Parts: sequence; structure tokens; C-alpha cells
Amino acid sequence: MLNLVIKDILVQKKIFIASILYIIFFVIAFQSLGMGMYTAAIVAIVYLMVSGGFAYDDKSKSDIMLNSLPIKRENIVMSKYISLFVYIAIGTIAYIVVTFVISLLNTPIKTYPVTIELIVSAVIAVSLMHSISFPLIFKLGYVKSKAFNMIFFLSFFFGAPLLIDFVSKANSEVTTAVWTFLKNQSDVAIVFELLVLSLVFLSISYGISVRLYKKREF
Amino acid sequence: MTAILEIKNLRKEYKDFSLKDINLTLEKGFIMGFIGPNGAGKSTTIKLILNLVNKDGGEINIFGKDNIAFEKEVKNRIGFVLDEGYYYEEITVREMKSIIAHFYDRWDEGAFKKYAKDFGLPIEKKIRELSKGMKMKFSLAIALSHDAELLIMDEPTSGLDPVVRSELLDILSDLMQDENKGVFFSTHITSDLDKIADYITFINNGEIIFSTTKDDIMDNFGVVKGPKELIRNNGSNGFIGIRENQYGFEALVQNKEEFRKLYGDIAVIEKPTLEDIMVYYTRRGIYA
Repeated sequence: MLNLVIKDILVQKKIFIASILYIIFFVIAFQSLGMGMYTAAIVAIVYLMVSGGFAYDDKSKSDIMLNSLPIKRENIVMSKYISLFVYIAIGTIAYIVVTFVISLLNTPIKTYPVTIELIVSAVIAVSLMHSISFPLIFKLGYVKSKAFNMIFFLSFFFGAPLLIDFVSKANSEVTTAVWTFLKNQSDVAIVFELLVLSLVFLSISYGISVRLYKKREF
Repeated sequence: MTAILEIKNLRKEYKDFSLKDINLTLEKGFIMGFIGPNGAGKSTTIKLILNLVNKDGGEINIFGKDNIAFEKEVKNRIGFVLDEGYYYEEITVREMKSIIAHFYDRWDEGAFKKYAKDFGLPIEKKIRELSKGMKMKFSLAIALSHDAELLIMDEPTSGLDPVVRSELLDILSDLMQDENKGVFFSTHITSDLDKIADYITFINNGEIIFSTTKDDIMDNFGVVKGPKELIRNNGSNGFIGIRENQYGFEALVQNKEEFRKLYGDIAVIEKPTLEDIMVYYTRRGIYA
């Protein structure tokens, strides 16, 4: 199965160079996000890498080849979910390298260090996003689901801050209740709960993807 | 002895085409040619064998085991060559090989190296840069490098030049020295099979017309030519794909000895090629 993850990286060989370039771009573009720049950059980069991997599968119709090999369809699906974490790691390494170099250069570009909380927030964001997009890709294939996923990605990416903003200002009973619930807990507990929740989403999503992919015909 | 490939009442329905309860059996040590015109159901059958599409009924047993229940085990023992490679174009032959090799329990690197050398595979080239013939040879090298007992080939020769085609046929003949192996070979280029096939299964419009030994076909089928009166007086029963012209008629018969006894004095009987048989059969609906 790891072999399939490596395959996705191998077909996008220039991924490391590309990720460095993307990170440079994101660090500059997301100056206004402050600490959030890391999370935003990771979400974007994982999206690009995931899309790249699926696009190559689709282009060469390699689902046909892979499914003729002694590989279980579950493993093909699983490898894509695992690759999310591999891409987060690649993106994080690239981010650390890029921000380190930028800080040496004495430019007006602001950089923020990576913290555990930020990594966890990236994991949560990536998990939630791809929990929804993956089943669709496994059902329809990359090309057919592309338009939907693009819209979904953009609304997630730009909508999330607006949503947070809205929720934090809203004053309904529900939000007050949620706030009270959250306020009574430590930050660590909240982050942990969110992490568990997003991993649960990811597992459910995996189950659905497997079912859909097993029914798919090539 | 268990058959290496056995298909029972296999059914698959599409909107505009269906595979109608097909049956065939391939024993170890033989090559079966799977022939039929384009769109007859050859690729669909092969995709069903490889579980790339879901069947609507019937059974497929490979080495006596259900192809889905024992999918991983069965696929470890199958080598496949599909009409296109479906490989990643951006990576090199070596990289693609490494990815694939890991999935087979019995991968034999030495065998691959030997075939790569024999076939002249440019191992460091990107897949994208390979010719169609080279891609086929790469598929074949992979198929032969994990000790596969059954080779499944879907139109491996289509689009290849005669030299490469003939090389492929030689390799297959060599391979059959090992009596434990079998080859299931779909093609619409029937001349490929004249040389190497032991069995011929003919599919047309989703139905198996016959599945028997090549010798049986060559001994029994005949292309007959005779005066038109023969059909006028005796009807067209038993004639396949009758074509009339101003001098007489031509048709295929399934039992040429019987025909010889009846009309040997007024008609000519010729030995058909597989191509003749395919052509006469597919002409049936239009002219008969």
C-alpha cells in the first residue's frame, strides 16, 4: 500500500520543487493571515498534490492497470487517504525550509514558526475537506468530479474564515451554548476533540469511498 | 484436472449491448484464441475476468477458484497484456516496473532483466517515449516475470507491425513449452491464431458461436461454392453467410463431409481460414 503512495509521489516527481515554489508563493500571498498562513498554505498544497495524483491516474487510465494487479480496491482507496498525511509532512518540511530561508534574508516578509497546534489544525482542515471530496472522486473519477471539487475547495478555503467570523459574532442560544461548552475546556482538549472528530469523519469517508470504488467499472 | 480458466453462463448487460450467458473452458498447456469482430464482447469478457467490471450473472473460475472471492491470489498467478498499457506516461520504464513488481508475491527480477534485454526495452526511457510495440513488450515482460500460469491478452497485436507481431507469437510458442501454463488471447487479427492457437472461441454480438479446437474447425468447416440452383432447390438451411453473385453462390458450411456427400459433384469445397469463418458468420444477418 505504501507502494501506491510512493507511486503518487513518483509520478509527480517535481512535487518537492513545486511545493517549495508554492510555499514561497503562499507565504507572500497569505501575509494578512498571520499565524493562519501555515494552515492555509498546507491546505492549498495538499489539495494541489492530491489533485495532481488523481489527475495522473485519470490521464493514463491507470485504474485499469492497478485493478488488474493483485491489489485490493480497499488498498487503492486507503493509499489516497494515507497520502494526505504524507503531503502534509512534505508541505510542512517545505514550509520550514522556506520560512527559514526567508528569515535569513532580512526581508519585510513576515514568517511564523510551525507549532504543534498549527500542524493539528492543518490535519483537521485537510481531513474535513477531503472527507467530502474523496468519495466523489472515487465514484466519478477525477475529471468528472473536478468542477464540483474546485467549487467545494474554494468555498471551503475562503468560506471557512467567514464562517468562523460569523459564528464568533453571532449571538444565538446555540452558539452561546457551544461557546460556554468550549470555554470550560482547555485549548488542548478542544484541539484534541476536533482532531478526533475530523479523524472520525475521515474514517466514515473512507468507508463510503471503498463502497463506491468497489462498484466502479472501468 | 481443473481448468485454468472456466466461464459459466457469464452475463453482463449494458444499455446497448449484452453478453449473453457465455461459457468457455481453457485447460492447462493450451492457447485459446478469442476471436470476434469489434464490439462483439471480447474486451467486456476480459474485463469481467479481471474484475474490472461487475458481472450480472454467472461464474468465472481461474485455477478452479472464484475470480472475485480469491481475487488477490488469482491475480498473482495471472499475467495480463491489455490493448493499451495504461501505465503512467511521466515515469521511466524502470520506475514503473518497480511499482508493479512490489505487488506480485513471486516477482522474479532476473526474469524481467532477461526479457528486458531480449526485447530491447529502453529501461531508462519514459513510458511516454515508447512506441506501441515497445509498450506491448513491456507489458509482456511484466506478465512473464512473476511466474504467471495464465496469460490474458486483450488485442495485444492490434496496431503492431508484422515483425513485432511475429516476435510475440514466437515468445508465446516458447512459453507453451511449459505445460502448466495457458494463454487466453483475444484478437480480431485471426491470422495470429492460425499459427499458435489450440482452441478457438468465437464470439459475435455477445454470444459464443463456438468454442472448440482449431483442428476441429479446420477439419469440419468448409467454404463452398456452387450453382445458385443448389440453394434454390434445397433451401439455404445449413449455409452460413450466403453470398450470391451472377455465377453462383458462396457460403460457409459447418460439416463439409456431409456437404461433400450430397453435392460434392456440383460444388467446390475449400478449406477456410479463421478469417473466412469470422467474416461468413458476421455476414449472416444481412445476407441469409
